Amino acid sequence: MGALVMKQKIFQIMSRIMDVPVEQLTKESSPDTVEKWDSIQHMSLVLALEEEFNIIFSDSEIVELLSIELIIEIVSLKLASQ
Amino acid sequence: METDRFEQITIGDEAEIFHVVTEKDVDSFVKLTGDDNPLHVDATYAETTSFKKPVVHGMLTASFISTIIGTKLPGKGSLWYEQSLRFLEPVRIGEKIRVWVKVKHKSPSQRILVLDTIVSGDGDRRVIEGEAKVKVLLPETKKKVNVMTDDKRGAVIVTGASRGIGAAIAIELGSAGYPVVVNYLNRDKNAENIVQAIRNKKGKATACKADVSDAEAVRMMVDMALSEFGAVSGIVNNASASIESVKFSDLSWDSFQKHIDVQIKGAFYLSQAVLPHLVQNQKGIIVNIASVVADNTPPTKWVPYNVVKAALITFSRSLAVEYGAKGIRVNCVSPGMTQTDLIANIPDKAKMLTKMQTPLRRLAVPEDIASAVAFLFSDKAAFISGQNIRVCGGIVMM
Repeated sequence: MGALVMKQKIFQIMSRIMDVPVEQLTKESSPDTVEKWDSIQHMSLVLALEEEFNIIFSDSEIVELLSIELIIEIVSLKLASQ
Repeated sequence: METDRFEQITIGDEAEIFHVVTEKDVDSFVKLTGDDNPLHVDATYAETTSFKKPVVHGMLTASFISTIIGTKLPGKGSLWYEQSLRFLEPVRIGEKIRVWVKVKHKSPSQRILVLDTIVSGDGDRRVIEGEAKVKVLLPETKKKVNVMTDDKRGAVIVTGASRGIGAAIAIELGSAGYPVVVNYLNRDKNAENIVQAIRNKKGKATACKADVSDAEAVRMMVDMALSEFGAVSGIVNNASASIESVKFSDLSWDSFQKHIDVQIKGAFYLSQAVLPHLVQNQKGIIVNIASVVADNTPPTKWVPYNVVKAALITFSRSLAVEYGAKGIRVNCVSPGMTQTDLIANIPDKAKMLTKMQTPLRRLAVPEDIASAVAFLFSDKAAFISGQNIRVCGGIVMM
């Protein structure tokens, strides 16, 4: 999977889970800027990402998914290590 | 400077004042205290008593003991807190009294004097005698501010100033009016650019290539600062070896030693070389650039860096204690993760995580750290010493 496709998918997942139009999301989007991004939605996000990319996040990785930028970075590292 | 009056007083010292008691004095005393006992104010009544003439209030006469204590011995700053009195004979209106005190005991630890107090009337007859206890208050010391006006500012030597945090500090201090010695080891061109940047802002600066872990090179750098700018106001120990991420099991002593040499030995040599000049001037400022890695769970695989930064903080506090009385302030500035070459090898993920874990949601930039250093070099920080100022966006709170 190319990096661009992966990023697009992450933005789409974010948009769906957080109920925010994709054009309103940026790399800097985070719980600070996305109103619905609370601990419950965070778990939904983790599940959606795991299903989409067929990966499993460790406990420490889950708490590191603090912005779209970080999600892209961590998913990239996990896909690269597969 | 105001002398300490208490120090000058010795046992046996004496003082006296004279006063003629008038009818107006008595009237004023009656008005003040409400004591209109006819024995004091009504001649007809007094005639009917054994005194035959009005008697001046005893406390009016005794009040002149307050006058002599407050104005003569001990004088200004006296707190008269205890007095015994024996009224021996009456004083009449028109009588000239002599109020006399003599020091009979002095307690330096409590700053207390015990005084014989005697009031005599006409014919040298003793009318009042007693003993006073007086505390002599310590003159309040004025806030001592070692103000460095522009024309008195000596140079500040900033180590590792050819790039990153050191360069930003050099430029900021240059803008604040300090002549700056831009110390560097390898990057001649960078250092010259920093010097030029300071001069472009009407500041004074010169570059100085010197290995801070070499005592002789450091001494020569201080000599150069003195000859070029006439005086040294302070130093900023900023130079650091590059951070390498190495597991402790793979870490060589040489790598560890390199950090000790640049940061601890460097701060040691430069502080030792410059302190005699600062002590001579009775003022000086030392700022050591530490790191928040010393405060919290330290980053893994950075053992040498973590250790020397913690050591630098204790080094600063130790000097602050030893040199505070000589007018020298020593502080640390501890940056959080800062966007410089030093973190070029840190994975992007770690930088992003730090950013998101930082309450202010960004990494530091060198100018953030430079601002804190410039504050410590300003008169506004005149009473700050032995502190570690964290410039980390709140990622560490202590």
